[in-house]
Amino acid sequence: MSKLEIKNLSFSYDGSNKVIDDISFSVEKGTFVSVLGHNGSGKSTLAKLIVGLLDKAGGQIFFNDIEITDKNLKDLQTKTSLIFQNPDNQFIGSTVEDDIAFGLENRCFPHDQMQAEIERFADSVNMLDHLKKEPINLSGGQKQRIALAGALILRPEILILDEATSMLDPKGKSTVRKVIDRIHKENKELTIISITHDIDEALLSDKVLILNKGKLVKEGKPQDILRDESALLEVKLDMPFVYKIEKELKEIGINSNAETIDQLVEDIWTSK
Amino acid sequence: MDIQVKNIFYTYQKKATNATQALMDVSLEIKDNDFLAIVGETGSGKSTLAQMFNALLIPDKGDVLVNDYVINYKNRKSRKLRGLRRQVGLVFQFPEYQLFEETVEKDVAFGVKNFGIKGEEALNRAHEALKQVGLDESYFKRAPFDLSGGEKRKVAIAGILAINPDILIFDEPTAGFDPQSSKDLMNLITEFHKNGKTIIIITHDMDLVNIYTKRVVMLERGQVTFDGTPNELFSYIKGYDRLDTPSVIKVAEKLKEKGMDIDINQIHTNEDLVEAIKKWRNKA
Repeated sequence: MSKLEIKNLSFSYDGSNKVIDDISFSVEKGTFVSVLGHNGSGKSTLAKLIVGLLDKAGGQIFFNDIEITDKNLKDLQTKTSLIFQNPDNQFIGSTVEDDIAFGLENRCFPHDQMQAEIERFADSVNMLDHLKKEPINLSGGQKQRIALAGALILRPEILILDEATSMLDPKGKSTVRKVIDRIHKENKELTIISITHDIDEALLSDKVLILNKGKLVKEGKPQDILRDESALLEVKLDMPFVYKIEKELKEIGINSNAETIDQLVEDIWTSK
Repeated sequence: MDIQVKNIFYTYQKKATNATQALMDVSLEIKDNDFLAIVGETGSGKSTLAQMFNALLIPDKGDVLVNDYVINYKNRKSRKLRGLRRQVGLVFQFPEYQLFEETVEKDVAFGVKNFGIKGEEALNRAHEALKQVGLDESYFKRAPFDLSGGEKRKVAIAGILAINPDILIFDEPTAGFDPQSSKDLMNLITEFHKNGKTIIIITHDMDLVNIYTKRVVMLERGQVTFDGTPNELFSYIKGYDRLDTPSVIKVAEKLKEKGMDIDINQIHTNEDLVEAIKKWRNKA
């Protein structure tokens, strides 16, 4: 299986404070990974190191068992797409279709096939009806979905989301989340690394990594890790809402291992 | 300090063909020491309204009165309005973009200096404000650009706190914050409220509205369509997908639908919910 492997990665902005401190982990192809951690724990720095936007101070990054060096960094970069937090900072084109096409044009994609390709990817993020629109007429959620289409059209093997939904309103959040969830299910080959503060969003992923002060402190399935309240508190994170209520209900004699609100309500109701 | 908004209108890009009317006949009264949330979907006019409170934007029509200051089109060039900004502090949605000094302490002290406080005193104020937002001495001499997104936000908030305004307006204060930082910031804001400040929070986060505020104003397409308590809002927005009901209210509503005798108006926190469930079980 091809994968992304990080070995003993370190980084510092000023040469003394280690923002990333000896981190090692590997991600199998097609996995949806959430990276959690408090502000300043090193999450965004980690993302930038993986795509080579920052030069690592120590350690190794392997992609498909080949070590990434200065010489072949470009290869990894062409296989990686990064989506940022602020939808307004990544809109480059003057219309939706120009924006989606931007990366393809950079790669000299044949013009006669371009329109079909744009439409295909606009459709995959539910934005096919908006191709001629200007960014000013789009909501934040729509802009993020356009950014996703522009990223996916380059057929990356790794998609990195750096708090891609945190600036959106609830409707924007849920539409972007749905699109990401579908992309994950439909692309068995695509690895998704999502940096987030949204614990409820992390519940949807296959694997969770928790960073604290630049170190990787927890790694595992969300259902296991996100129930460990004391470990989460130690790194200043909260349990998902449903788990939190379950814990409090236990104290009044209601046992529930629900994963969703509906299940939880059912468990409470039948406990009578 | 009271704020009175009287029938204001505002249009962006007035001369353009795609002129956007951001506020239409908005009236609102905010009392001294209120703790108010302004909610509404993206583009509903929330941030536009907030920028009227310290005269960053001037209404095309209508008046905004902040104590003795009159903000309207006629007064738009009045020098008096500068004093207003010391009393109404506005923390923008992406305040981290406004950092520019070499060190964190200089950045925070910049605003204070603008209002005529110099040297040591300005730095002292900056240090105090930084500690309030949870950034200790180790941050003072660091370059703002080396900080994480959330830490930059804290520096920007400290910059406003250092000026010590009477009215504090926060535009999406906790977006991009980890849970602990969100709680810390909200506790800090609550503390300011207790000390007599007027607090206005613009947010999408209904949990935050439910836990911390007593009054919510909702804007839709530039108009005030709701003004009441958080619980009244949650029943008002049922089925409205642009705003999310807090999870704890969702559970309470679903239990009520099933037939549980539960007073949703009393539910603000997880503890409230568990307590209500306990009572229901004891009765049954």
